[in-house]
Amino acid sequence: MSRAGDLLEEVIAVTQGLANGGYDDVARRAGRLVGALEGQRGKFFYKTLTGVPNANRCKKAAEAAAAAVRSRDASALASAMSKLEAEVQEMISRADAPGTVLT
Amino acid sequence: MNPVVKKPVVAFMDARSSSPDTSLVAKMLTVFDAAGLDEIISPGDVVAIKLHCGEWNNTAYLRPVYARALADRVKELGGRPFVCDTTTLPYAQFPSRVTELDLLLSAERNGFTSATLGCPFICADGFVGTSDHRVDLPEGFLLKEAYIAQAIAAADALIALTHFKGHAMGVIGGALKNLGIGAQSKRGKFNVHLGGHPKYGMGGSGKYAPEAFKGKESDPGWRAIEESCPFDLLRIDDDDRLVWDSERCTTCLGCGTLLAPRGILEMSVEMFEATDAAIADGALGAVKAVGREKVGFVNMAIDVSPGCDCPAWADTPVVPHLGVFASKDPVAIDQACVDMATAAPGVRGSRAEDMGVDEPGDVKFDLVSPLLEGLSQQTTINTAALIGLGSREYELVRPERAGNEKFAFPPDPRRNRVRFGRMFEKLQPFPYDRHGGRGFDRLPEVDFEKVHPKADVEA
Repeated sequence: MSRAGDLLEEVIAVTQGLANGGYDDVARRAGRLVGALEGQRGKFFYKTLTGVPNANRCKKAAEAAAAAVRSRDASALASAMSKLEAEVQEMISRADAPGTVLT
Repeated sequence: MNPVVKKPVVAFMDARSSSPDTSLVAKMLTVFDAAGLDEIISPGDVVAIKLHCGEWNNTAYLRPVYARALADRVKELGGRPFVCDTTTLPYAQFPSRVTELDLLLSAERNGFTSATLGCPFICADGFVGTSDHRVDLPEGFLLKEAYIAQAIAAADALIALTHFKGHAMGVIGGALKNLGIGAQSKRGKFNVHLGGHPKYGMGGSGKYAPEAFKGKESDPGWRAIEESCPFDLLRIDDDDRLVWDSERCTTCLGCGTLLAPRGILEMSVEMFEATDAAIADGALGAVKAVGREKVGFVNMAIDVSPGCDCPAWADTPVVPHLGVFASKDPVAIDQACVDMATAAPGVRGSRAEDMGVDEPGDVKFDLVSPLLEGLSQQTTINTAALIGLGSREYELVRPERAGNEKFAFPPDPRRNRVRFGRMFEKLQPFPYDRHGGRGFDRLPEVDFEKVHPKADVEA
């Protein structure tokens, strides 16, 4: 099992790669996502098991977007980017939001 | 020649139901007797039934009917039951069971009252959680004393009625945790959580980074941070720096959810692991307080959520309902539950799938439950075995169904004609006198093809 912190780095790397796919809009959105994701580094959430499912979902969404870029499938890419943005937003909101019960 | 050591019995029935005597309530009572738990109750005994009444808005805790049925069984055996839980540490931002007042309100909202239980529901450790009985633990692995909730220590017999599930700190919440945490007073819970311990307590083991606090101006949540510590050990000083008196930290866990996301405090695996071991010591304290021959264990492995019943929510179960277990041995019963969870498939769409442990044979709880990686579902169990609280080896027995007759409706177990015949004669609920004796105005026949799955039905 990959740790949430490792998965976060993979998400950042895959998302960075989206910028070179030849789609200006995607590059712009990927850049925004990378900035937000880099701000997550070092947070406690990514050192916990709680962070793994969210980070995994982000990784899968990023890989789906990358696959759409490679296949030049504009329709799939639009939906994959929306999904990626939603997953990243969800992960960040969980990482920053207190509320997890420890006991 | 070595004497043959008899393994403790764990009575088990699965969770499938298709008749009155396979209802989970009926199965609970069947395994209770099959494990010999009826033998621990003598006429006149005051019997504590210890359960987790569930946090406010938690939905996975045991339905009150199980405690009711158990209390009724205790009464049949001549005992005098009460159902209880204990006050908690202030472990969250808005906890609901920290005082007796709050505990009773939460319990009542979750359905635990004298009306539903047929016996009193009480807070076993007093209004604040200082009503307790100290027990020496020279054989303890880490703790050398325990503080047992007074009402439990005072009881003649104790039944730990446990919802078996995962736990963010304990990894599993089983019989051992129901006593190792649940039977401790609040004072005892500070002890088990290693409050004030120089190496394993939050103060000693937490990684504190005060520079991560950005000042009142930048952090609108600063007041919540200050107010999270009931011991007033977190203060923002005149220079806008966060100051924590870590040496006096009690490990109440009230601040963790505010400090950890900010990077101010990191909890350590060592603290969690030490607590998991201490839970076994605490459980031993409870067993010693009541008497080893007077304690029984019932584990309901249903709604096996990844987290405890302490949060104000409950996630999708990670394995299907496993069934009902009973034993005189808390180690054996928890081991049996863990073994069965490992053998079970994970539930699709649950955290078991999230974490990639959804196949039969996968160890589930080590990944789906703890906050931190590196903790094990075996730590508490192994510690308990090491200190002589029980055995990891067990004999799983599967009792026969007890028969539907046994689970007839107790207030009136007569059959229908005897019960209702005269009443229906006087107040006839079926209108035989209408529509040629058929009672109601209905069509003689309809075409079901019109509503079959492939029918073209307009919305």
